[in-house]
Amino acid sequence: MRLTKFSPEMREFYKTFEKWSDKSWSATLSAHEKEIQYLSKKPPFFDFWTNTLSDNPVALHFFPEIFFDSYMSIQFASMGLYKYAIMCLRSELESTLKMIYFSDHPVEFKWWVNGIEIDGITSKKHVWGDGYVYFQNLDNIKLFNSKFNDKNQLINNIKTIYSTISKYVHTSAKSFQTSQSSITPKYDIEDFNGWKLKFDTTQEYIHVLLILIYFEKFKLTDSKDRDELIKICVNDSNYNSNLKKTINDLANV
Amino acid sequence: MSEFDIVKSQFIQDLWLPCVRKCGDYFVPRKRKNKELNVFTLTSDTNFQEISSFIKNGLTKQEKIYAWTYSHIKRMRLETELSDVNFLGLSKYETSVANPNFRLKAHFPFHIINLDYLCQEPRREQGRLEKELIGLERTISFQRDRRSECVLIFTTPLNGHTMDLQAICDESDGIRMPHWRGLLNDGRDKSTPISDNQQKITILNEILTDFSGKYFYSTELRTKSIPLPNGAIAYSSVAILKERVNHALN
Repeated sequence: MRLTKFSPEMREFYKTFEKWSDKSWSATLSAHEKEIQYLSKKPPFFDFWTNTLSDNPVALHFFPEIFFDSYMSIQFASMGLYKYAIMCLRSELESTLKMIYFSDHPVEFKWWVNGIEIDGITSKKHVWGDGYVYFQNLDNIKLFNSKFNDKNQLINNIKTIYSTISKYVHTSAKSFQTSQSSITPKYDIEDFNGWKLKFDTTQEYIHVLLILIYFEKFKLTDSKDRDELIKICVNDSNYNSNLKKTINDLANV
Repeated sequence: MSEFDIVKSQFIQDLWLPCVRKCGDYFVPRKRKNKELNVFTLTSDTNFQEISSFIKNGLTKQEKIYAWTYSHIKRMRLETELSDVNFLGLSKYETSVANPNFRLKAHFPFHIINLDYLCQEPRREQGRLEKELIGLERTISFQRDRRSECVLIFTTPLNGHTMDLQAICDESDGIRMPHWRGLLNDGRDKSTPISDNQQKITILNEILTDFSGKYFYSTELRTKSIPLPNGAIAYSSVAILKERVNHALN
């Protein structure tokens, strides 16, 4: 960018940003190049879902936003903006849950798109209703949950991560971007690892939800793509093996 | 430059551009420059030279172009590079085109339709070519709905996978037209999958001509094939779809 055409104040404003973001990127990549490379393989799997659900107008409405939240979470974290990276995850998860709900509620979806709020439906804390009862009663989620000791495993895990990452939106004291000793965003190994865990977990729950909810479409996709998605995005060994068992059960119905 | 960049460059210079220029004069005879043709193209974030080339030759401008790519990241890059082009699509064109809510449909007709599947990084899998051809037929049908003539470019890699003629004909014949008696309806054996690339090219040419006839177009077809590594071939055809005179009179 040619800065000379801008005022000195704007040049300084931009240069400050350029300096700290460049320094943070550089420090993050020096310490975690391979991890970033691996994590950046995850957002493109929303191409797979956009293709798989290309006949679902609700999905087509939501996937660019879901993809972008996931993509920007990596970008923000690499710049040392951990709070904003985690806020993206909360937005990504909320959009996914909304998309699943609205896919089967076209009337409510239309209201929501047009900004119409109906008391008790679209203006509730969550459009899908209280707690996660809506999701917990969906057949394929019940089947997946039945493979765990905790018979509500996936939903309880989603509840936990949702509540954790929401703290970054609602400004709880421990989720500040700045600290008393430093206000400049910079690479921090502890913050990076904390974000990475949340990123991985959020992607995992989102893809497991999508596979279970849209299994009829998922099973028609190319087997290499399906295997790749599960391999890259579902890393927890319990989740991975129980998801495969569930897929087998569903395929044999 | 990758092998695909070289191939695309050759197709543009030797086949696409001469045909598109000629048709540009036919569609907009009064303007020598700034023809502002409506263009739809499947393009690539790393190689969108067909767009640059059409613009440079005075055939169109960014605002008149609709471009499609199958990936979020690729679209972000294209939107950044070509800020006035209209971008659609985040999924495979050949999958999306069959959906009832296919958004591009509202933007037909186009003067130039470039279905370059080669630049969409096609997975070299069984059944790909069949889907692409059905995507091609649906595209022609949208153009027909608006009763409009166009230049239709179709480009695809041909590799070791067989071509299932029966599947293509079944799918195509499912899209009924009152006068139409069927795709490649000359009593040939369609049950044997075709593996020879030269034979595939001959059949592709026949299919393209047949599709045109099905939708009341007469066609002038030009083709070019370029060898790729591992015995594959990059095939490209340009069909100039003109209103069939007897149909127009009816």
